[in-house]
Amino acid sequence: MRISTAEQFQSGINAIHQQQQKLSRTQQQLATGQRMLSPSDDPAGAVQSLALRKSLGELDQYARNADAANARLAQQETVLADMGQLLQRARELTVQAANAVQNEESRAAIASELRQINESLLAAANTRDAGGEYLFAGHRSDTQPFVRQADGSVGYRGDAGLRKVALSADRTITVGANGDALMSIPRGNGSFRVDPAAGNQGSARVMSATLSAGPVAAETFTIAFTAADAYEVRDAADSVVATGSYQAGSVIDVAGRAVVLSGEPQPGDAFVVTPAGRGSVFDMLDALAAGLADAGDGAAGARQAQHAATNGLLDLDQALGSLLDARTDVGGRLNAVEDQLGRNDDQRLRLETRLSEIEDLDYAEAIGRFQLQQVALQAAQQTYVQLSRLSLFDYLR
Amino acid sequence: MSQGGLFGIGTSALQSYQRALQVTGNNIANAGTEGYSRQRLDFTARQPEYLGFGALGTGVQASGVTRMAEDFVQLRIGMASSSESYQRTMLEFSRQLDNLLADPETGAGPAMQQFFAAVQDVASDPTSAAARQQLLARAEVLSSRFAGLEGEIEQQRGLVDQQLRITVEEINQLSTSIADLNRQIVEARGRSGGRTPNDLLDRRDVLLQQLAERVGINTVTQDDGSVNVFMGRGQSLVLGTAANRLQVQPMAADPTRLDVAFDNGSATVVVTDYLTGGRIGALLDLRDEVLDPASLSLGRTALTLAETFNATHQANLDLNGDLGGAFFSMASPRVQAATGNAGSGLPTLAIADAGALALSDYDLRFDGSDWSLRRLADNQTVGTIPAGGSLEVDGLALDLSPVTGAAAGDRFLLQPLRAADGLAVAITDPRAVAAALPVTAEPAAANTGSLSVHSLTVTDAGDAALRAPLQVRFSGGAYDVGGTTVAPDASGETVIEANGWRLVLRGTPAEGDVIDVRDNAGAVGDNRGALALAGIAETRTVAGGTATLADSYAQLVSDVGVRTQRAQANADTQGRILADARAQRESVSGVNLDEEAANLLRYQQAYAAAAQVIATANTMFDTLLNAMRR
Repeated sequence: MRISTAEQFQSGINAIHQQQQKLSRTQQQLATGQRMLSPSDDPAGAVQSLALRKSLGELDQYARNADAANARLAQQETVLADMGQLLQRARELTVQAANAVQNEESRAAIASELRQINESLLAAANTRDAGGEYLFAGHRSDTQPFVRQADGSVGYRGDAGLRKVALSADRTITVGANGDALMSIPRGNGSFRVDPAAGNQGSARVMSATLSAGPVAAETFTIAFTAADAYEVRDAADSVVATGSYQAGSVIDVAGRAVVLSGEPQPGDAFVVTPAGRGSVFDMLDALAAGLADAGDGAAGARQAQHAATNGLLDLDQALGSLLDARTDVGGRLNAVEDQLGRNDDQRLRLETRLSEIEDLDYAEAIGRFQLQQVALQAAQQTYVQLSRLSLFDYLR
Repeated sequence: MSQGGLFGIGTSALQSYQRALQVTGNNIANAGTEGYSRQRLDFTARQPEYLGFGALGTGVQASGVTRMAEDFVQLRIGMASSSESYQRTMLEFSRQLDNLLADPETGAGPAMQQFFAAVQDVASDPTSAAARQQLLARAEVLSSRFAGLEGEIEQQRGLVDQQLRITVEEINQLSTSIADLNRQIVEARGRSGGRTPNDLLDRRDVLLQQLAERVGINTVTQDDGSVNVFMGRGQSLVLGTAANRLQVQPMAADPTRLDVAFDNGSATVVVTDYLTGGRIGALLDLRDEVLDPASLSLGRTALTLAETFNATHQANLDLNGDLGGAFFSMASPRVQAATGNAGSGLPTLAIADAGALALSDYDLRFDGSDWSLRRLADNQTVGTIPAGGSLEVDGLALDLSPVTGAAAGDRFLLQPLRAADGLAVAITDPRAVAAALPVTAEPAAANTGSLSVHSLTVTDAGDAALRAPLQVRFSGGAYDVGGTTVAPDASGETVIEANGWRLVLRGTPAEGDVIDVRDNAGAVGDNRGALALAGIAETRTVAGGTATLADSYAQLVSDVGVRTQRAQANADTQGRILADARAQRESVSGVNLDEEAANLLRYQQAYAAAAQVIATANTMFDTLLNAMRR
């Protein structure tokens, strides 16, 4: 095939252009460390890389969410631990108060300390986080949740909302707390309570009150002593539903409720069995302090104080149990956050590896290619120069 | 044999080789001229002298100058030029878009991700003014990215139009020049008795190739040496010595775009759809196949984002205790009346269901009694509407009542998705970011059963009684919901819908148990609304619930990437084919200086030899003269 001179020069220059383009591309790849310089280099890879970057961005966000959740839950845990200590101290005091050696003054002192503990508990329940939000107000986080009302009782101003935070695409965790659920506890044994009627003359008092079998309906009964050793159980309509002879320490069955009394009742004495319901810890502590302070002097006073303390202990144990449950729950959620963070880190590693496979340059290969292309360009340039020197005219002299 | 014979032979050779040297010199001189075909002097032996013993040669003569060219090679170059120019133009433009879409600084992908991350931050801390402010800032960035991308596409569309004008003007100039050369060639042939004017042919070939680069053409050579040039569906650009003109004009259906029209002297015909190949074919295809689809896809992503986000946001409660407003605002869908419509008024077009939107513009045409709506992407008629009626199709609500006095043939162009540049953030107050639910449901404290609220969602934010308090009471084995009775579901999960909310209850209720549903104003720490907003990012909301917003954008990046990749590969291939065709032409027509140098030597030697023949004749003559003198 004939080669024209113009073609010969042009093809030499084209070859140099091509080599320069390749070299420039490799140089750009080496300079940026990117395999793909534009999506058209690898459209499928570009889309994957977009998706992977999105997932990685989401993991960053989930990590931030987890940090926020961690901070909030850790603060809740601390506050719950403080509350537990306060209630523990209240329990010790109540045990002391039940002791027969206490007199009116010492009981008044104990009552006073119980009131102090109650105020501390109230302050703890109104704790705010770093952002000024109340921890235990549900969704109404800018409203002080526990407020002493005009009648002296403590009311809940928050709501039952529980804030949730996403830890991964399919996992959310509760970081909010409903203060009402936390501070409102079942009273007594959780089902019913037994109180001596006002004006009881005998020394009989409640030793224990438990359910004999399953749950019972919310009904009111009265255990009325017709004699020092005989009683009747009457329902709300005052009809006698059971009778029996009293013996200290033996079980009195009140429609599925096992009540044990001790001491010696007087005829006409009575004990009232009422559904326990729920109440706030604050009101319970107030009532306990009041019960101890108002017990009066002497044996009757000691008996009344003892009764108040017994009921108080039952309530306090409920409260401690409820707090412990809450702490366990928060601890569990803290663990879950940690666990999910670990999983997210594993996933991040996988995603980053995959992204690197798609996007990153194989430097060894690229440097090798660069050198090869350099050699090719040099060859193209040298052959061009050599060829351009060849001309028959040089020999026409 | 006469002495004059030898002299004659010598002289004829001298003259012929001098001409041959002239042709060689001309070849050398034009070695660098574009489109020059090397020429060769044809020698023929002169008419012999017939003598008794035979025919005696009488020398040589130059019989013609041959242009070394092959028509089929020229044809190949023309076709290859069209294709190469088409692909190169395609690549040039799509590469720009390609780089733009995936760039983290200009693309919408990262901005969308950061926007939803900011929503998550608000969900983590709904009372934080900083997180809310950040969300608004991210939303601004996102909307400006969409607007920026749409702006870039619009700018490219402008560039395409500009190039279209320039190219049409160039085509007109080239056609005129070719017609002019045709005239010169015909005249020259007439003057020289049918001999080809080689240099004029070379010049015409160059112009034809330049024309082929701009538009796909067919050529037919006439007997008189002129060339007729046709394009598209047989429209003649050049007919002998006459050239016809192309012109650009605004499209009848969409005055914002340009059509190419053919002016054959008596009338103009729109030929936009028939132009294929060359730069002009690439420009038209770019507009229809790259820029418009990109714009539609971008617009649909932006619209769906705005519509779905707004719908959820409007079902939420802001920090002021009010229902959320529209978070994003959008430009209203574009409706354009065709030029020359008889009727007045524009139909109103609104988005009814963002998830059902199709990637297309629509043509609305009146036949005298009914309007028919045609989806341009697949040319399907999707609906027929009586005059003044309305229609809901493809997620669009179209109302024709504002159009009056329409006559048959009236048309409108509906462009519901040209909206990406109209996306803006509608709220400025961080407190107006609605992150809470408007209602809350709680079991009453006195409940004795295990009834609990599993979920509460808003189904109709427009319900007037949405935030009115309502007690759901379990009595007599069923739930009493403000007078209506709902039986508990056997599965243990009961759904209660009222006042625009949907409540899912779990657990076993006891007689008299109550769930209170009430206004949630003041619950500033509630983030359920924000979580619902964040969930939009993961929900398949686009294209009939087949893609998430991010998927939809990734699809666009991939589409443009694939197109660019294909254009790159095609441009490479066509470039090689063109180079090959050119090499073929060069191999036939190109000047090789070494060859010319050899010819120079050859003819020089022949010339010297011819001179020697004359010298010999002279010597013979002298010998004869001397002999006579003696």
